[in-house]
Amino acid sequence: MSLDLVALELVLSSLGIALGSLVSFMMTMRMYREWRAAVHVQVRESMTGALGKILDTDRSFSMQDRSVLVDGEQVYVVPKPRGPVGDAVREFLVDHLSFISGDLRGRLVTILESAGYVAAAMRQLRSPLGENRLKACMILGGMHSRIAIPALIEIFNDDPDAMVRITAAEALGVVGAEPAVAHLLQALRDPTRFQQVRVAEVLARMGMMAVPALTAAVDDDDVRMSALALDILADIGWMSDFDPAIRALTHASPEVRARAAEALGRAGAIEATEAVMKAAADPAWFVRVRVMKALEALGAPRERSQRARYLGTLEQGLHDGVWWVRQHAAEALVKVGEDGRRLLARAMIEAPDSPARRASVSALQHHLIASAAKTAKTAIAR
Amino acid sequence: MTATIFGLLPLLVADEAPIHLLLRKIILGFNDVVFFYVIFVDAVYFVFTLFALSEVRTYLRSRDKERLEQIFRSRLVPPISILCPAYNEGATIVESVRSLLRLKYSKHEVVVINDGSKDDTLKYLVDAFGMERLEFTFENSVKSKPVRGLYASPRYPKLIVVDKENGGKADALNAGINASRYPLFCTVDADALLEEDALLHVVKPMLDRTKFVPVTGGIIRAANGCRVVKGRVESVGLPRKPIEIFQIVEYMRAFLCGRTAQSALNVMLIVSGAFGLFHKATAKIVGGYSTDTVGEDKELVVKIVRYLKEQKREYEVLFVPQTVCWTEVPATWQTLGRQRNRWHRGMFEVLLKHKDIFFNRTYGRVGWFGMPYFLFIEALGPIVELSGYILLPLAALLGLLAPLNAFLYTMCAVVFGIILSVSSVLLEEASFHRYPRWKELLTLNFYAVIENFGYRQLTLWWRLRGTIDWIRGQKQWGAQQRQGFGSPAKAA
Repeated sequence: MSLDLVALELVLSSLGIALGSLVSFMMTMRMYREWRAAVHVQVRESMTGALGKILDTDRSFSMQDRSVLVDGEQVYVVPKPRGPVGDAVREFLVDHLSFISGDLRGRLVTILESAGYVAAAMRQLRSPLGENRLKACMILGGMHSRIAIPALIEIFNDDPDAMVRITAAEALGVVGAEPAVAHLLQALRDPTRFQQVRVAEVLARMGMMAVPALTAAVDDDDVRMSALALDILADIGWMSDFDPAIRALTHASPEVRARAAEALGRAGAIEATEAVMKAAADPAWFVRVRVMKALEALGAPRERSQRARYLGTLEQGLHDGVWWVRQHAAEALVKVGEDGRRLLARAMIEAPDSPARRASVSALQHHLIASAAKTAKTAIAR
Repeated sequence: MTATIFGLLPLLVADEAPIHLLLRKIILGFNDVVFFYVIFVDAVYFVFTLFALSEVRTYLRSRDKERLEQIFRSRLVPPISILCPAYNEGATIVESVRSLLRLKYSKHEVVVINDGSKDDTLKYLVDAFGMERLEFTFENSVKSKPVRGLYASPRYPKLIVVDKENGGKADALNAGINASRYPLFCTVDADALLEEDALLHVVKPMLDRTKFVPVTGGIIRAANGCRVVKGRVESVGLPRKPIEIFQIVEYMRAFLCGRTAQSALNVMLIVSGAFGLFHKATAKIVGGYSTDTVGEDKELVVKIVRYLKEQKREYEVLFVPQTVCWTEVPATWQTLGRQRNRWHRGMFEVLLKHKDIFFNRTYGRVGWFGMPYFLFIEALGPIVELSGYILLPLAALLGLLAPLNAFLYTMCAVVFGIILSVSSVLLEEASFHRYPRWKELLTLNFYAVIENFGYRQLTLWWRLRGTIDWIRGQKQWGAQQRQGFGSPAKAA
């Protein structure tokens, strides 16, 4: 037998073995997956029964090691935080935590704490693998346990992995820890947009707690930072201390000016109307666009002279050199009401420049379609 | 070719004249070429599979921890325009648009481009969504055929319909680029079914990379055999016809393994026309879609990559190993053949149009690996492999090669092919696990094995025909019959 042939046979048989192992690996994986799923179903069934009793507000609740006592009677023994069973228990409780609040949430958190689930996740925070630490941060955030706050802050300050640090900050935010705000603001300086969005979302969810720090951040030297702070403030819908945002309307960076106008509009800061109107003369077109949008959101002032100035600003916008500004000015005018639409109609007939006329036509057309649809709807309702 | 070779037979069998020696040398030489070619191609695919394994693993790990849905409710993410060209899609268009409007994203618009349909596509849309014709003003930044009208609806502010004269898919997409408002655009076939979170997954790479990401794509799967309710894939299943199952395995191999690996190596040059997300400003700079090729989707990506390389900008073209889109694959051999023929012609057109990229230092990895990969492995593959199927047994028959050796060698190549196919099924099972029943898993594995006996050769044949048609200079698309989504029973 030639050498070639032997080599070929060897290659062929090893390929065959490789194929066989691939297929058997796949089958094993499938079996493991099915077993895990079965465990999850079992755990969920057994826990759902107990959960009704645990969440009964009329009955007292306490924990003794891993057994749950309701009115002194043992209703459930929480399995150890280990293996697929432990995972299933944790997932079940964390799932419920996200839509239960107040005292009842406290009961579930107590279960996680005294059955050792929080401690287990905190042990994972010391894992040498970044991946595990990241997972632990996520889990701790989901468990809403305040015991973990110091450990998470430590991770945020010292972890070598940037992703882990951001996740820790996020977990702190979800838990609702006051000191997290400062950490989150720091994490907001991450170079990628995605992380910024993640952190911003957590800050926005923290709501009023984050407002003082964010309004302070509007004055930050970093342009990106002040722009982001304004965006988040707009999401929260803050209600007082608009001064930093009003100051930002005259910021050196057009990005910040645009965000400031938008944020003030979305927050409905009526006291800022005058300042926003002044910003309509901004040299950057996209700032003017946002100003028009903000004016639309703020609405026309009641006071007569201010109202006239407001309409004047929008009319100026109607003759802007940029299509987008004209369009938004026209849309804002439609919303003002009768006098705004009259202004538009006049522009439609008299405007010397055809673009302003076109914007007016398109806005009025939209309005007419909308009001026609409304009339039709009320007619159908009758 | 076969005829010529058999014509040579008597010459070869005769005594050893110099000319015979020469012919023998040619055949043997060619055998060597095929031999090393097959080894090389298999090695490339193997490396791809390994890359895909690690890439999908990392992807899945990060995915679980991201709470994408919550994050993308934020206004900080860029809004997306969905461009949906429609030509005679009256039967399905309303359903498709409804599913596009329903996508989960903080801010998106749907731009349907009626490409001068001969049926009532426009009328269906106007009736179903209460659309009104508007005065329109938009910039004509990329060339397209004249627009006849722009329609909007007060009830569906996210929807815009552009009615234009017929000009083909590329032309319709260009009109869509002009009419769209947002900085990113996503192209979607009118008959494609998107996953609800498709936009979340494909836009993510554009935001989480420090480098510029001009294009992203995701996995496309065959919807044949799935239960589709109201423009949404309700439950995943396998179709009954073998031709469809073959394609399911093939798509797994091409997308889950191939594209994922190409993306990891940053040499990706294809984003499927059925679903792709683009950075609009960049697409406009390169002039939008070219209307003079049948491979306009591939061509745009090549143009963008080329432009960025020339500008010396750091970029990544990325592929997300996440299912984003389901599409109906051809259910008859004839339409499948025509589709493959068209794809292959498109590839040749793109390669020829951008031939100066090859081995050009300006284009770096794309010039040295990306484009050559498409030429030598994807485009010329059918010629080499099919001639191998003819020459190898012939050489063995003529006594130029030991028959046993030839047989064993062929078997090695085939088993390796099977391993690659099975690996992609394994990757699917380990990652997304879309086919939960045991029967389906076994069927997929079975087809992964048998696709190497016949189906693979058939696709090679169609691609060879595509090559020939390209040389002859054909340009038409070849009609595709649609059976329409419905119950799987209907498909069977």
